[in-house]
Amino acid sequence: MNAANQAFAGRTLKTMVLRLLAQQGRMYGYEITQAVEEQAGGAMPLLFGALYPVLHKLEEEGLLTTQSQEVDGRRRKYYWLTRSGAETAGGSGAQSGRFADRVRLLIRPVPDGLFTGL
Amino acid sequence: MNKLSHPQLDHIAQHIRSTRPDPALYDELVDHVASLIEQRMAGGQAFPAAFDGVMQQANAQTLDQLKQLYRREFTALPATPVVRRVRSRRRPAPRPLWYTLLAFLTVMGCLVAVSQPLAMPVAVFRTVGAVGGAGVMSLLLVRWWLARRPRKRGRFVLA
Repeated sequence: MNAANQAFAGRTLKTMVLRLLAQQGRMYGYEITQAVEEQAGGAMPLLFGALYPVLHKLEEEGLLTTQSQEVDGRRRKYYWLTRSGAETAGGSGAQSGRFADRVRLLIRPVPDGLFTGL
Repeated sequence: MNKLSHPQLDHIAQHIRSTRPDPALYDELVDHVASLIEQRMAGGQAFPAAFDGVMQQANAQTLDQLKQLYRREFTALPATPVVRRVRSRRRPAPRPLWYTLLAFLTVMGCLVAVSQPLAMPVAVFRTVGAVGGAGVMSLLLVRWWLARRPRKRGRFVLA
């Protein structure tokens, strides 16, 4: 995948994450991967190495906020939208017509070979 | 869904730690891998088989790539050069010659100023003034002499 496609896939995944969190409220990493797979009908396994950089980038940009809590003996980090994140997610809803097409293109984002089937 | 026991979680955590992941990612990796293993165990696999299956995907190479990605994307630039630049602006390099000249003039000014209230003739300070003045003049002369000669590059650089 070239740099342009990677950037495109990254933006698409960001949009997906924002929309999911707008729908669900708060979610954690594994839960997001499952939801993305479910939305894509199992046709698009979300790569392990793709999700967390995107989540952390969104957090850094102030679109997400987090809280860690202990669940089943381990630390779990939950994400939800900030106000500006909700505004961004709302704005991205207008593009939902093209969204499904973009999702299909979300194959193997950076870096290649990272943890498929998650 | 099957919940992992503490020893099983410790086993996962130990494996993840051995790959030295980015600290920002560690907790989430453990939780993610544990969730995947639980999912496989719910499908009927035993822990060792589920662990091995997940770890084939989350192998050291994969986690190392992720670590490199985090290093590139999230590591802040070192702040040291900025601090140095700010400091150098705030605190200019010391100039000993000018400090010496200023100190000499200040001392002489003070001596002249106190001479009248203490009823001391200014001539008392003539010797001190002459010696100090000669010293400052010689310093200025040496400085001028050194400045007019071209400096040799690398003169003080150790081989």
